[in-house]
Amino acid sequence: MIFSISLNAEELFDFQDLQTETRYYQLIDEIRCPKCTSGSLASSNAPVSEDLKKKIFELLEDGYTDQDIRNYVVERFGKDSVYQPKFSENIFLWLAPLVFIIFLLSIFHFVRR
Amino acid sequence: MFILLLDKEAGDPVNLDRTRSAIPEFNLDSLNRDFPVTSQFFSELEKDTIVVMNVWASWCISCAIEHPFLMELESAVNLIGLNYKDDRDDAKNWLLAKGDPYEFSIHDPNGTFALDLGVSGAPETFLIVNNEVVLHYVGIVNQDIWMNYFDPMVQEIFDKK
Repeated sequence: MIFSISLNAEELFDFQDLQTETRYYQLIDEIRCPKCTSGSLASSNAPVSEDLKKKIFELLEDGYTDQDIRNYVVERFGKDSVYQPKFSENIFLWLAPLVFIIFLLSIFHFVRR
Repeated sequence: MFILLLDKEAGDPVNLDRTRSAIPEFNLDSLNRDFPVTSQFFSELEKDTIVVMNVWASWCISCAIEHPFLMELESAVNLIGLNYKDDRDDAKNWLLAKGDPYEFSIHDPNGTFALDLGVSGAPETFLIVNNEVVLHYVGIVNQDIWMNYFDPMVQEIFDKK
C-alpha cells in the first residue's frame, strides 16, 4: 500500500519531445511550491503544486517560453515564488557582501598603518 | 530583523503581488448547477459594486472555523463563494448542515479558476471591485481581520462613490 501511494505521488505527463520534458523539470525545480515554507514544486505534492505542475505542462505544450511561465507564476503567487531573485529589485542584497569585504579590507589597511 | 528590514512583505497574509489585477477568464458552473458562471459575471456588475469572494471547501477545517463570521457578514456585503477542489455533493451537504452565507457558490472542482487567481489553499478571501482584485487575503477572516484589512478598503470605495 505504501508502494502504491508513492506511485501516485506524481502525475506523469506525455511530453511532445525530450527537450520540453527537460525544460519542465528545470522549471519545477526553480519554482517554489506556493503552499510550502520552502521547497520546490518538484519536491511537493500539495494539491496546489500538482495543479501548478499540470498548468506548467499545459503552458509548455502551448508554446510558452520559460520566462513566460516564470512570469505567470510570479504574477499569481508573488515574486518569492521563484528561487532566482531579480537583481534590480535586490541590489542591496546582492552587493552587501561586496560592500562588507571592502569595508573590512579598508579597516585592515588603516590598522596596519 | 534583518529579513524584516529587507522585505516588509515577508509573512504578510495579504498577497500584494496580486493586488489590482483583473479577474481571469473562466467558465464554470454554480454549485447547485442551476446556472453557468463565467468571467462575464464580474465584468458586467454595476460600477463600484463590491463583491467579497470567499474560497472554501467542505474538506477545509479552517473554513469551518471561519464560517460563523461569514454568516454574520452575509447581510452586510455581497458575499459569494468559490468552492475549491471539492465534491459537489459534499459541498452541498456542508452548506445544508452549517448554513449557506453565500448568494451563490462557483464550483471549481479542479481548481483551475482558483489557480489563475493565485489561490494556494482555503480559506482565502478576495475583495473585488470593477472586475479587479483589490485585496487578496490568505487565511481565516474574522472580525479583527475584517476591520483591519477589508473595512478600510470598503470605506474608501464608498467614499469615492
